[in-house]
Amino acid sequence: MNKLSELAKYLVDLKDQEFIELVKKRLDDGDDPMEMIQECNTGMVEVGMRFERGEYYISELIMSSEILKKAMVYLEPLMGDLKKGPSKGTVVIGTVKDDIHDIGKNIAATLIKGSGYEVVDLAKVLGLSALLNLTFPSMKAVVDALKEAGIRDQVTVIIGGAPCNEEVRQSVGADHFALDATKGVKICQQVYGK
Amino acid sequence: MTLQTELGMPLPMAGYMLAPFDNLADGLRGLNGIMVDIFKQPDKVMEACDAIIPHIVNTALALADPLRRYPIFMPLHRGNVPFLSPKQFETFYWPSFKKAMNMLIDAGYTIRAYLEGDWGPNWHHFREMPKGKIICDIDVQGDIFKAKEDLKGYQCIAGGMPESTLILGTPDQVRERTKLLCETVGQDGGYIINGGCSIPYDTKPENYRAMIDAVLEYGRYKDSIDFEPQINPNPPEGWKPLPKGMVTPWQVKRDELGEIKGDENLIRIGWETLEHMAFNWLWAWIW
Repeated sequence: MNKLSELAKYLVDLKDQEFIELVKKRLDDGDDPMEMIQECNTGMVEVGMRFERGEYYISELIMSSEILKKAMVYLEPLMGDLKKGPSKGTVVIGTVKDDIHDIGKNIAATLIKGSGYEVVDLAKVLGLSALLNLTFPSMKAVVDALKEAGIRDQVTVIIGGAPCNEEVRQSVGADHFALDATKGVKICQQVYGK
Repeated sequence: MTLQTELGMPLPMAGYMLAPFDNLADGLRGLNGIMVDIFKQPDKVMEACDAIIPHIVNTALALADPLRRYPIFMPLHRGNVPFLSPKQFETFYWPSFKKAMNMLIDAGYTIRAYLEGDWGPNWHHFREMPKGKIICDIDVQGDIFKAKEDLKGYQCIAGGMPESTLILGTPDQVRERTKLLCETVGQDGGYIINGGCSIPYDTKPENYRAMIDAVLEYGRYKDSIDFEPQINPNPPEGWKPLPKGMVTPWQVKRDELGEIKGDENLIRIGWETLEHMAFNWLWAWIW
């Protein structure tokens, strides 16, 4: 586990006032914004691990990402063309047809982004998110479409959300299922090797 | 409704309410908003939950079964792990929820609490409520066997049949699961077999048939049904109704109108009936 900088520690401990003041101070002192973002990423990974250990709950996950958003207001404009630092890989994620629930997907996307991936399109990992069990046929349709397009083996498909389990995974033909966001991040790390 | 009017089947529920915290979170602050609120302004969150109670109870009673046959439904979103920690649940979610439930029970109603997700660390609180007044739907993520242990003798539990088995499984798998449930959580009453949430639209008909057959074979308490539906149009004695919620109270309109010739009540009664309907309609949207 990487050592946490003071900035990362404030983020992990949800001390939003101290965090923002340190961001401003370090920018005034001429610190590299990219480095600061990397430190924040490390912090978010630690938040994810505390969630896995049952020390943190979704309340803390959301609070930490809201604090991070505030920092990005200062840091993002300074990034210019460099975006948010080197991306570890790209992940596409979406809620499946006939479902409208997106909270789980948003949490997963935030954590995956926070762990250093680009969450956009054209990717090696495809995430399908749902809450309703009537979406199983839609999930299968997506996997079948990948087969028809001849790219099924180029893409790792992860299904997520409350109704997913091993039986569902086999039935729709996905590669993995993840019942929470941190598992999703782990699978991305396996695929991209980092 | 067809099942009720043509075949005499009871409805599983009538009317609904959210826990005050869920109402505040889903309808008014959003998920991100409420999570930041519990860190940055916890006192206001608790105050807001209390302030919401009379409005949502008002609306729930307006929509409930007038004959008090069926429970009032409550889909409960944020009371599960991992949204809130058990400590956050006890501080922010439970106190106002308990007050609101008690107001419905005092008015003569029962409650159907759908415990979405895994309520395992928190459902023991239902032992604080009047016995036998609540059905707790135990979702697939919750442990139905533990729920029976924790709530036996206090409240009814429902669930136990995973939706994915009904949709994707075989009649033999359904039968085996039903037998297990009848022989364990079905013992000593207080259990309704169901999906974690409900019986899904895509259930294979042969699976549903297998479940019914298995219940008839393994789940009999006795061979006759001597049950009378409880029909009760009246609230318990001594119950005081809540003031009816209005969008614009009559007094405000009256002041606007100035002098009214003739019997004011002719207008007031119509006005208040419509305002009360509008009030309930608006509050029903906040979720």
